[in-house]
Amino acid sequence: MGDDKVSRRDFLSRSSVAATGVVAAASGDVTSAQEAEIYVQSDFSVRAKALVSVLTKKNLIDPAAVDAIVDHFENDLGPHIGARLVARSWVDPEFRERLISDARAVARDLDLTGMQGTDLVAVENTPEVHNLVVCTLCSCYPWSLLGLPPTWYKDTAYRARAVIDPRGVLREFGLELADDVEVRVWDSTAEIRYLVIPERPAGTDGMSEDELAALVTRDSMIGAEKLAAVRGGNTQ
Amino acid sequence: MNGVHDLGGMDGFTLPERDQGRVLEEEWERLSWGANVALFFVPGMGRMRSQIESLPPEQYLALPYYAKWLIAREQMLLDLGFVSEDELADPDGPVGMPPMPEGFAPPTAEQILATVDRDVSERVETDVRPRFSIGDAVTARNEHPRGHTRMPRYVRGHAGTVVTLHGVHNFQDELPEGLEIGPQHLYTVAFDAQELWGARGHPKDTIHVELWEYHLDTP
Repeated sequence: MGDDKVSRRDFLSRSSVAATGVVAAASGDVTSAQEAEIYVQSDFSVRAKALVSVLTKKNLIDPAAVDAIVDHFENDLGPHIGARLVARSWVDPEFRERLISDARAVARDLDLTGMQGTDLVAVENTPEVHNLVVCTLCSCYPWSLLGLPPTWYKDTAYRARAVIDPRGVLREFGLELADDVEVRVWDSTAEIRYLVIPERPAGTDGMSEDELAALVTRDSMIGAEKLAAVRGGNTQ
Repeated sequence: MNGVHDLGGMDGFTLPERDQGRVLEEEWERLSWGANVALFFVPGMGRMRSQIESLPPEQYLALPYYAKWLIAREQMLLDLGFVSEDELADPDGPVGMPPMPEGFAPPTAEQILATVDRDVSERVETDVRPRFSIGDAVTARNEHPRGHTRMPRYVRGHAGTVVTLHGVHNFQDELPEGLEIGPQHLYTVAFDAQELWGARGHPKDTIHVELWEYHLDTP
């Protein structure tokens, strides 16, 4: 055992120090925030590399598979998939009915099912009803339709507040809902995954399905925002 | 487990900006996520959530998201004896080979991605009849299990209404030793915001939670 080796205990106490640093960062001390950030990044960088290296030598994982998994989650999966379903639901009333009544069957027909996205439910936003999706216990999210979740969705604040104060959360996110709008919050506690169908924005009459899909944002499919009207577009 | 991970309804947290960048920002996040997914295909490495939930609360709240996965994976590998502390501390040093079943080979990218994209439902096809119907009034049981549970604290003891029947799903709670419960009917139960949060709830709002039959009683 060399003196330069770091014991497991040191590892854990270092992560604890790093965690304390994150708290210091949140308190607004800029210098310690920057130091903590650098410390956190370098610490986990060392640990992640060590883990992959040891597991590879032990023949437990294939490093090429690790790269392929990351590439798949970063590049193949993503909100562009959910956006296609939303756009089609806007132009095809029959498809919209099927999506709302049995999203699971629709996803299976289109070969869009997968880990964290097979038992799907689609909920529709209207002028009267606004849906918002959260996972208070964890970070459950429809990977097969939206990819990996954004940081804000996994944040403790969003998870804590979305169920007790959805209107306040939406207000801070830039969406003020009228008092007579009904808010439905969906907490993904089991293996059901939700897709919010946002309202079709004004000014999009006559647009093709592809053009419409390009307007659909990730956050609108979680219920965190409404889609903005298209300036200069056609509205009946 | 009444852990700090069960965050619904807590005050005092500051909402972040809605980030619009890459979902895996740092290289260590990519490595941690890739290794984590690959490890789901190694025997004994399935249950992640209870591992993350058992992090010390102050670490759970402060650590970056993917660091929790990384630390949980390290701990599972250590607990199973698949890696040692010395090996993790000195990855360039010698390593022992883990006790894998005969003929085990690490799954290839193709095998893993085929599973990631497969139709992996938790639904089980059986003809067990559901105890509740749409529109039924139900109460979430006031239970505080020590193990992993999918019934958040904020609904326990509260009255709601069944709004969806999802069929029979694998039960995900960790049960006390000796108690065996198979797949259960899964329901979406709607709770009025004021039933859960009193005057802080908006009279028009509802919170929908997925609960298994085991979690529900007739009021």
